[in-house]
Amino acid sequence: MKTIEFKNLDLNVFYEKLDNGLEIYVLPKNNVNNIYVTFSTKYGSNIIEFKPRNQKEFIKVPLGIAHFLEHKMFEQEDNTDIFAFYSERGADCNANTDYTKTTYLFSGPNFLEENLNMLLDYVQKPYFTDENVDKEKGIITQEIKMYQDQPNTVMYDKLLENCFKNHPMQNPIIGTIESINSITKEDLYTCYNTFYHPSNMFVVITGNVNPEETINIIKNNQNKKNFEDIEKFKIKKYDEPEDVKKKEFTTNLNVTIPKCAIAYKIKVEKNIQNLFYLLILFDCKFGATSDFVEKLLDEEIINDNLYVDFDNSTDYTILFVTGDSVKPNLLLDKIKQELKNLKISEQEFLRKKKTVLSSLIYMSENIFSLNSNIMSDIIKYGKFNNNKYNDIKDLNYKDFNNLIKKINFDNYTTVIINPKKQS
Amino acid sequence: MYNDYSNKAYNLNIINTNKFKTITIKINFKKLINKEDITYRNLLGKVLLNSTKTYQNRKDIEIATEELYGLNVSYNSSLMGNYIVSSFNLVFLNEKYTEEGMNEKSIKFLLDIIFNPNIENNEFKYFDLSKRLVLDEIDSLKDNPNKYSLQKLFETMGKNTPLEYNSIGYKEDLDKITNESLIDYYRKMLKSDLVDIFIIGEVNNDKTVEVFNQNFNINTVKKAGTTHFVEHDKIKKTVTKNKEVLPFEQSNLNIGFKLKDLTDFERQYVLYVYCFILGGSPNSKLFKTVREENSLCYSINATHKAINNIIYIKVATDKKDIKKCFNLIKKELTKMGKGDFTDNDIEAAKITYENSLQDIEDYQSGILRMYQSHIYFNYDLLEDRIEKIKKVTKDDIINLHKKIYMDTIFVLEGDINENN
Repeated sequence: MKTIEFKNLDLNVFYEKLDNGLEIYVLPKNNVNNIYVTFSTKYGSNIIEFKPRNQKEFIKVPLGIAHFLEHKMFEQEDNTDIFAFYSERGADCNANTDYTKTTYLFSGPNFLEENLNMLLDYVQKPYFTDENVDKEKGIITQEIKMYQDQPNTVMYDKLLENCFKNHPMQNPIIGTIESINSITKEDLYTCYNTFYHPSNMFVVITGNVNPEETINIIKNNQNKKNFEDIEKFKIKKYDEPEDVKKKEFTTNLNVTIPKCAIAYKIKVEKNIQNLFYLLILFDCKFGATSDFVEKLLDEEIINDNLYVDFDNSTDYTILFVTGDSVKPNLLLDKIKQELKNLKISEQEFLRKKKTVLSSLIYMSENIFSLNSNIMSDIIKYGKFNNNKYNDIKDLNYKDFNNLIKKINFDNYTTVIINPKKQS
Repeated sequence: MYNDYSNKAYNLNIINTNKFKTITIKINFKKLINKEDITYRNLLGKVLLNSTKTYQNRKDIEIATEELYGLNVSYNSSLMGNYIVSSFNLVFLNEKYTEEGMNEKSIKFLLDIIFNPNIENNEFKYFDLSKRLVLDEIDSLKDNPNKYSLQKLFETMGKNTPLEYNSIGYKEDLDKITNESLIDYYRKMLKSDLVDIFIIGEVNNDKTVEVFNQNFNINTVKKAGTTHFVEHDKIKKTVTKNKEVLPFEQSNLNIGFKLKDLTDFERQYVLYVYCFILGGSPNSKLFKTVREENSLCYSINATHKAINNIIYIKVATDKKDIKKCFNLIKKELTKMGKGDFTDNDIEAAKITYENSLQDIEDYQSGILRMYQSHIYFNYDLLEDRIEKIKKVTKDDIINLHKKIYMDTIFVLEGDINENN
């Protein structure tokens, strides 16, 4: 067991890699009662073309299969009801799938040993039948339709679809009604056997735990199981061009005020400081303290703040700006124009830096945020970064300016969602 | 450690704990609700948070929050039964983690927002902008099928009670509000509302009380309030059915039930267990039957609004499956009445409740909410809750079922080709 100090936050992370390859991160926080445990595979919706273990050829699986598989992991051959198990122990249990990982989780202050063993056991024991696979199709179809009724989901999916030409990031995580209906139990086993080997997975635990005891529970559990030696799978690499695929898209949905969004596809070296520099830039330009927003409000182009968001699941960093406006085209034009001038005062830069630092401290108060933060590090940067505090402290005005002036802000795609026509 | 520093003009509650790096403050203004209060208060919150005499522009306010180490200030108006409660909320890093003097500065920032509005020539700055924003919010109520259909359910079943109101506001009321009338409303609110202040974190109590004594400019003596709980006098014999068609993919079925003559114990504990078993988790009767066995939906749940004495069941499905869902739900309800659930189901509900009590202690917002509902609804504090939940029996649940009356069904039919 290795101790990693989460610097300047009065926290430690305990790390161990087991013989079967499973990595464990435990962050004890003993001033709270609750415990949050996540068990993840580095397998999300972006992996659709790969060479499965023990196979020579690349295969292509249906879109949305990682998410479908996540649903099906709750099915057990001996009819153990996972939800009932956790419910009887007063714990919340859930799972989620994103572009780059699938996570199974529970939270609850008591019964850690039982809860943790169950988590490892059910995720490591697949049971797919034609019948239970079919049953899930109706449920996921309803989930897809639910998202189709959410304008924001439609908007983000469309932005990513138009950003990427070759990379699977262009597809919705959940897939399409057509693709999920073509999924078979054989497809699920192929994906499971390839990506759910312990060497492709990690456990993150945050909350009121003793690290040594916790790691021992996992060790004992894993020692009882046999995992075949790993023959490495291969994931297809995509040659993704820097330019966006499609510049603009407009649709009509059941919204009252038109919604619009712009996504910038940016290639910079992927590290936490560069991400903060980009976010600081966008916050200065489009955040609530910007003159730009103040002016748009005056001119009645918007009535509420704009929102800035990002995604860096791939080698590209995508920065989103979204807003509601009765003049969506004008708003988008103004946003584009605003990035022609990249002058930010040093005073403003330093003020934003201060808030980045305080948001790290706010984050460190919450076991759910801490857990997500560690997971995101592992997926995006390969390992937990214990030095974020100093990374933020070291942000400086000179590097900020050097970075932002290199970026091509003409590489964007836009989406407008207009109301359906009145009859 | 809880201390009450209330005086005749306002109640001041301090919960001192060193568990957190932050300090949270909530200042509530509450009054018995009238429909027009909702729109007034939504608008007022926006106007006040946009500008003060000290921080003239929206931008200045935002910059001030950044200077105060990312302090978070917010405002919301909640409908709590017979009352409307407008809360000013503040979360900031304890000065131990920033610099000395920041605690007082942060509190004064919030008080500046409440007491020092930017009124010039008898006009609030940002009145027009805030009014446009409220109008957008009202117009957008229809955009979310889930929320909209629930609102329609409440509107139908709560006619002439506070249950029928939405928490955003109404266009016809907004149209009537002028800058002048909003200023009058604001002054009246400060003068006559009941005021409750909650502070939680590691603070110096004496010093904090002193800051409020000197800067909290309210001194009107208040009478004690009345009950928050909305009672239903009459229970209808027939169920009201209502339907609307909008261009969505999914259809929403909402079923509302009225509760009559509940005891405090039933309202706080038995009702929780009842809803948990029926539709409160992925292990619930509704989830298992409607979703897992029949693949008809992605989510389904049963929820209570104890203050309004109602429960409701909500499911999103295909238009063609509404009837099927309804019949399955009815079957599960009958089972609840017959006691067709296991001791394990009851135990699971209790232990989930007990765990959620432990969770309350992990968050300032949780602890604060517990004291608020103790003071407003006479709900038990932690220790009593731990004891009383244990006492819920199967008979209690069956008896509660007899006090639940199906009242209204509202269907929002999704028809993607429908033009609204």
